[in-house]
Amino acid sequence: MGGAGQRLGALLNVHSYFSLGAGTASPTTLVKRAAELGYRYLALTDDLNVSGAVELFQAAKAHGVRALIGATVPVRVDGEAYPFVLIAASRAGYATLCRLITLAHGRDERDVPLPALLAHAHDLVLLTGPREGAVARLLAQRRVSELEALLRQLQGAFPERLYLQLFHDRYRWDGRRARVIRRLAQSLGLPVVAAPEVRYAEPADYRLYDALTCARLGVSVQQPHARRPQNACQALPSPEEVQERLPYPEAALNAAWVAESAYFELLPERLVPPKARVPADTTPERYLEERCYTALIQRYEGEAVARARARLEEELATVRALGLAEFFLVAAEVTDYCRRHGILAAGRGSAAASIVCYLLGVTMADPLKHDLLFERFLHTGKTSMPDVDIDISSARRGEVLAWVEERFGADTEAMVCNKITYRLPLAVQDLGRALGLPPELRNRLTKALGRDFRGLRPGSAAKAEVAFREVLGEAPVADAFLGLLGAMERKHVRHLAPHSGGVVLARDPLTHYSPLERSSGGIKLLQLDKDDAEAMGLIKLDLLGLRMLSALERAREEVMRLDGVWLDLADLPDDERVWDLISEGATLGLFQVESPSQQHTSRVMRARDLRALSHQIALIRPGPIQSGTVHPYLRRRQGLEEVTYWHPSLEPILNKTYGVLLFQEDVLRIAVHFAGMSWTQADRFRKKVSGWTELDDIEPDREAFVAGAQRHVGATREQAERVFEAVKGFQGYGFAESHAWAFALHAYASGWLRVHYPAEYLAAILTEAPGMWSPSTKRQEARAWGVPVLPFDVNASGVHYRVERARVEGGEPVKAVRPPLCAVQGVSEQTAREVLLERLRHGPYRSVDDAYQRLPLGRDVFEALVRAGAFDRLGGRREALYRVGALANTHASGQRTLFSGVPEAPELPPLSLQERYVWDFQTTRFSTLEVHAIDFVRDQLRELDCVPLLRLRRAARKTRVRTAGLVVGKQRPPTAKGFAFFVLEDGPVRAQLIIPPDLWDAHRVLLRDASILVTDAAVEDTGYQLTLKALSLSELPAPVQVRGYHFA
Amino acid sequence: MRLLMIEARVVLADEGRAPVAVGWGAPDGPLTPVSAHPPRPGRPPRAAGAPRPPSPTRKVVSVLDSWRYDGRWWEAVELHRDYYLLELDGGTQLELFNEGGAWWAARASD
Repeated sequence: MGGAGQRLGALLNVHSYFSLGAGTASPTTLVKRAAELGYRYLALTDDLNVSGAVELFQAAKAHGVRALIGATVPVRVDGEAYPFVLIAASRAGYATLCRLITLAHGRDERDVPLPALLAHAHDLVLLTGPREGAVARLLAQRRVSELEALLRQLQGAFPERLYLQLFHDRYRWDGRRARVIRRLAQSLGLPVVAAPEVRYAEPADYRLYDALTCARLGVSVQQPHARRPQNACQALPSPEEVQERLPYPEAALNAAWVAESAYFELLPERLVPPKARVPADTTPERYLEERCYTALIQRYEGEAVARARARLEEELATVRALGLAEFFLVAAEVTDYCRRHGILAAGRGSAAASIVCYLLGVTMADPLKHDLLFERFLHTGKTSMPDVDIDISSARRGEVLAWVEERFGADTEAMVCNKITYRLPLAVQDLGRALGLPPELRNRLTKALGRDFRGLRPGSAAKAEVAFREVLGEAPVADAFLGLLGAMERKHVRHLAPHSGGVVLARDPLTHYSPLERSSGGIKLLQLDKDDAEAMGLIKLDLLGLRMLSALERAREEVMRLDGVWLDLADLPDDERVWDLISEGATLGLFQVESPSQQHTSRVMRARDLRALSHQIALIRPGPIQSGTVHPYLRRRQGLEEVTYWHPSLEPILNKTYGVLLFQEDVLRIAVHFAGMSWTQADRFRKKVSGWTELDDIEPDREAFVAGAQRHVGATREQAERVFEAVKGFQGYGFAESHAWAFALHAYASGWLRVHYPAEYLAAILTEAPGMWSPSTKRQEARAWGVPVLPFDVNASGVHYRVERARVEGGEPVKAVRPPLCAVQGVSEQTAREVLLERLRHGPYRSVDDAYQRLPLGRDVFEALVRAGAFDRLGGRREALYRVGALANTHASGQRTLFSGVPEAPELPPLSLQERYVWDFQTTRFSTLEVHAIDFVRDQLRELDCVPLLRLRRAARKTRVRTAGLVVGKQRPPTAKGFAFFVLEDGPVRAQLIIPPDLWDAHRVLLRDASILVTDAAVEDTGYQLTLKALSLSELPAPVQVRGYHFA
Repeated sequence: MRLLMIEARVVLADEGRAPVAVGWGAPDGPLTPVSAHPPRPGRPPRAAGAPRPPSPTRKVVSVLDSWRYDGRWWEAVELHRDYYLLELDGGTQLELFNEGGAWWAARASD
């Protein structure tokens, strides 16, 4: 028996931060602390949550503690909810616990009715709960007979597994309460168990626990509340402390007994694939082979057949060995469904290296043609889940998910969750509220964090002290605030949210693995993230919504509508004009290559094929930037530098990337073919190289790597060290070549549409909003594309951006883009649809009065439409606004009246161009006018001797100039050594402005708040990708502020 | 129980934990509450009138309860108090607390 004597050996009621807002420590921290104090068992019993289970079991294994999993579940008894502690006593008990938690999450009250608890008692140990529990509360209310009746009921359902919980948090009367509970237990013949309720690891954490409790309860720290902690005694106690507070030997012995009898290993050894649809007369393996061989004959011909067959046989053998045939068939079912329903979908990621995936139609890229490495995806030694990521047109992803739920059954399909961890802005809001800071102050503080600090974890808040002092000064609350934030663990979880696409399809009901709950948006999700799901033996398919696929799909439909041509986007012709466009760097709006740095790289790379494009996509990433790969690659590609290899044996691996390390596949190949590792070892090594955390340090592998290279290819120690250093410099970079190829195909398709159907493509990217640029910048870019943007019009605008053939300024009809009514803020898609339907049924609106009578919309909607210019063709905006106000004062909209009684509007001055521009921005965040914000301050800029950006395109390099532009983009990537990159816009011309660290420090507030920047700068690059280096900075007030992209 | 908030003299058991004897305020006459709020750390409570002679030390018959209070962590000075509810010889119940090494008699029954 583990709990010999009176010393407590097991903690049975421990909360981590997965008791969202009611715990401060990670499961790992708690386990470490428990191990330090000599505990043998620790039961994690978070509030209606088992999200910490996988981390708990993994940490427990690492620290020599045995993990138990349970949860604190509120149970409704006679109208009141009391928390009970349930501990799973077996794998089946865990499944029962998951069902109970699922039940609670499905109820508004977030609790479990008593009868449900009694019916779900299988293999669960029940503790009666701490201070808020039924025993303590009913005793305090002297409802002893009710309590006895309840305990007898529970005893019937949990024979030998019901324990009266003793706790002592050094609150007033805790000692006497424990004595009374013990006496009650003796009188009823029930056992007691010592189970202090632990809410944090160390006593000092009680401040954070108190603040989080205040945030959860909606009170400030100044306000007393019965459920706030009164002291720091709910830290993980030493066994001696517990012994002193609860000196009852049988209670400590029972804790050990519960722990020993409830211990089981939660994490399985194998993955369990979902059930695929397979014809009755065959097996999944045979069916998979059949499908692949049939497709192979269709897709390959000539000499390629033999190569493809050999590769297929090799892959199928691996799939068979891992028992994953059904997994592939399920992935194929999803893409089959998409194809049948005209939904653009394509597999990406490492799956693109699999010929099985290619032949099943899951991926679009031929892995043989592009020489993609299957072992990156799957090998027989692989113990982790293979990644099959399927990008789906985001506009139609909901359809696919609904079909998946229908096909696989509601109880075997759910999304994995994302554990949303705190960053400074969120922590400032939550904890600031608890500290009693009013919303305005919190918002000012959040704003003051700016791009410098908002990405920080709360634990690094001290680095942002300058922002805290800027807003809070030297008030004591600033110190308390920084102290609280500093006490938060790095990965403190705030809440769970659905993953962007990870769908788990299981063989058994998912409650066997995890509770299910609904997100605020109604999405069913597991309490497991993707890594947890894998550790629990589940296989996930990533069904990701990709806006660019929606944009391509939408553009294709517009082309069909206007020109009657149906484009096969997977098989577009190779077109010099597309490569010319990309080589020029005119890539705004194109997939993956539209950022300023990608535009710049486009000009240097001058890609003329998909391979080069895939390299370009992979090149501008943190890994290559950080490891210094970018410049050698570009110089070698341009022939400015000789291509060399660290060792001759690396030439076959790195020759296509000019001798530099670019892809994860290269790391794998080097590990196998240079360092002599097995594929399993190499994959483990590659995973570490791809990771970011301190756990992923590859330094311990150095010796084995070097020795392996010396042995395997006869490399010298220096050569092997050099290769190892190169691989190490690659750390943290996770781009697979197969993934880059899949993206390159989409990038090319976007460029092709941009060249051949610019209006249709513009309408599509304005509707679906892929990428980083605001509608305002895209609208300005449309001027460079030669695509007119038509004004809003209640008689022409619809629900999406559409292409019309229009005569602009009396010329020949050209394709132009008409913005939709729902681009007006405050006008929903549904409202836009109503306006459209009424127009189709009863003809165009003849006046504001006519629309007001026909459309039952709110006054604010009419006003927004008028202010956006939707009634401009029917009269002046001011007059229309006057009439809407006057009509709204006489009768409700949507009612026909013979005589409205509203007099004509008085004579009102027309809107000036600037007023119209500002109104446009206020209502739609962009203007359909052919002007730009800078045009309104052009005279001031002239007085300041500023040169317009357009003229700088032809300036000589290194020229010093003064110029200005509207700030439409801000970046300060962590890899840039303190440099910031702003994008200035002047009409359809943009310039990248490089801001050195000293200027950034001197102008932090100006750079945070300025709309128009005036800068003295040196010209670094000219042409389409104009680049300037700032030498000094000042600002100018702008008529509008643009919401550009921000990236810190 | 009547409010006291008076500095107390406490004799601790050999192990230095629980009080075994305690004395506070005046031995005779009514006890005058000084403040409805506990004294802040480092600041002695204001006594009403002239200083009184100390009461004789009384023996602790039993420790009825003990508890801990931590709070006001968001202010410049935090509170940390260890409370005891004592039964004294003669039947008086006294609520006593220790803060920063100093002892205070908080409340007493008549």
